Amino acid sequence: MRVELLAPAGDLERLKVSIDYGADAVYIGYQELSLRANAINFTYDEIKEAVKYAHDRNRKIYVTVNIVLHHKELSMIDDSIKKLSEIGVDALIISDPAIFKYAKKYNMEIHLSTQASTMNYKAAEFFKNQGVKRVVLARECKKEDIKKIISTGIDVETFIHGAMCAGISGRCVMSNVFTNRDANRGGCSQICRWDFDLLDKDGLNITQDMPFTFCSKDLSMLEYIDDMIKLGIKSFKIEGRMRSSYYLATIVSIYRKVIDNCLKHNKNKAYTIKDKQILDNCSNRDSIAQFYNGVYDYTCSYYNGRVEVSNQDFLGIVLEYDSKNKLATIEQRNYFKKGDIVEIFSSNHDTLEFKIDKIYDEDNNIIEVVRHPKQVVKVYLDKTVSKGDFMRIKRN
Amino acid sequence: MILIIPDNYNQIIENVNMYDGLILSIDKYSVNVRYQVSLDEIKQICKEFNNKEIFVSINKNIENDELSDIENILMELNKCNIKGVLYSDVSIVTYKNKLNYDLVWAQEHLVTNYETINYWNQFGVNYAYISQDITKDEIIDIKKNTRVKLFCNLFGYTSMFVSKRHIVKNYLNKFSIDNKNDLFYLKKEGKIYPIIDKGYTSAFSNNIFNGIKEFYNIKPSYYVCNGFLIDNTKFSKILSLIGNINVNNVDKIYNDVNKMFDNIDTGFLYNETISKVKK
Repeated sequence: MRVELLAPAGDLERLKVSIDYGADAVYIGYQELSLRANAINFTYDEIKEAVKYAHDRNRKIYVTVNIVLHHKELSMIDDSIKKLSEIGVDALIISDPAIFKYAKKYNMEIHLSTQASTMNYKAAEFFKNQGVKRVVLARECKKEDIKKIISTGIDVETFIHGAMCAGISGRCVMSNVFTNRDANRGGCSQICRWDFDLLDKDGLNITQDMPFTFCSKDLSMLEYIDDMIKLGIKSFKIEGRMRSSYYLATIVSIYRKVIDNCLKHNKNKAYTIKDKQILDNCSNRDSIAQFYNGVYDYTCSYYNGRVEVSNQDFLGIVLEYDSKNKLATIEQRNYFKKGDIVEIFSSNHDTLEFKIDKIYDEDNNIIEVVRHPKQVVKVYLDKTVSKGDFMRIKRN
Repeated sequence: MILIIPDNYNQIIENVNMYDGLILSIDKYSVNVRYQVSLDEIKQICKEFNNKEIFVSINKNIENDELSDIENILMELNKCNIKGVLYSDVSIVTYKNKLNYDLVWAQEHLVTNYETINYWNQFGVNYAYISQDITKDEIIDIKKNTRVKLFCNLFGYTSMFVSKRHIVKNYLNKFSIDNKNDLFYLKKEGKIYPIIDKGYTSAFSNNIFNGIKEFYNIKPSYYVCNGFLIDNTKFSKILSLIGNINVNNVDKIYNDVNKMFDNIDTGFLYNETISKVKK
């Protein structure tokens, strides 16, 4: 079986990007029952459209129902799951086992959310016996744990890229305490990225030049994809339902290429240094393999005083292409200028590389730099590009 | 019934007439506590305090290579006449048929509704430790809709974070700070948050929870008083006050306990958390 590349989407536009750039399946949130309440999430009609878009392309849609339930949500579960089953959603990602019976009632495939923190084969066997088809493992699992859990026969899904929780999923309510926003019900305010003073047991401040933080580096399994395929993992999951279209297009397309290369036994050329650099620049945070190798020392932690710059590789989105005059209309996302070497990447064609030679503003005046957010300009380009393509700076 | 989570052995012996039972934490497999005891010590305490209901907390997330040790501990506890084991990891439920004691579903922040409590009940789990993050009304609603016996916090610091990572020790190592202690504090905007890095890392709320005001309105099967970081004399005084509680003096006792600390509040009893953030 082909290993699945599973991507996130916060709305319909990003869902289409994830699919167009190579995801085999996309996971999305459904209104109040999803753990990313800050993501836009999907209405019933949007999920219907998402399912059609995916199924027309032989892809799958999974819906997250991974909120930790309070009483007020209990009454809406039955009806919500019934509706999702009627429009052909392929599986539900559930963390609270009280929801299993509703999924079973409507013959929905159950994927156990990483929020359930499954770290051992006994727990996996238990859930398999309760009708769970797939388990999304706790991020804390090391390679040997994954192998052992796969041996139970349950399908295993693991994260391969994205942000990490500092704590064990479901066991952190710092957001509740500091901001009254419920971490287990979609309101996480990422207190783990705040700075603190560290005091010893006697109250003496022992903070050094860099403040104390819970913050972890991001996850990237780029170097281990071949190894993970051989372990028998069924699905590789990318984190981030709140991520941008550019992020999704970049991450999904690179992992798509790497997985395909590995499956073609081309593992030595599975990825290039440039691929890794693009991934790193895309999120602007260091990323490592985290727990997979059993390492979780200070090299996995982030001590940067929460200084995170925005992504500056992403220069703009193609709005249209005028083939007669060879002009691409670009909406700016980051500063660029005449003479920059850039790439345009797309789900429709190979990545194009070119040097920016001529730039025109909206009044057709020649300009040298594009410095205003969302500024619309025309760039001379003698190769055809498509609406929705992304332009980024070329990295050597 | 009043259970205590002791922060040291003295809290067990000095208050013996003021509680009905103990929640003991076992070496290596308990989180959110500073005072852990060995299996042998648990056996000894069970003998010494055989008129008390004794629960053992095994609330760590269990890894594959720990399962055989966990099974061994669970079987040894069969010999101790304990009342039950508090668990977080589902693997422990799979041993239920081999145990002569009960299980307490104690996934601290996930015990938020009666349907899930009743789900675990069908596997023989007859006790549940209610999340600290829900309101009084939600707790009362749970109580109405389940026959499972409930544990509720009554007093003490509450956990807000658990990690497998050595969050503090990593920082110490990174910046070459020589400090072998397990207990530290975080300071943010003038507030102080205890944090323990002992096997796992656990961080706690800055305020001590005082739920005494609702003593008669909630009235679960078990109230839990946590001695973590509470001065032994004060802890004894609080247990003594709770021991003398009645419907007429409950407000007074609530206020008397409040007066003993600068950092004390009612947690989320009257304060529903926000789950949908408006843009």
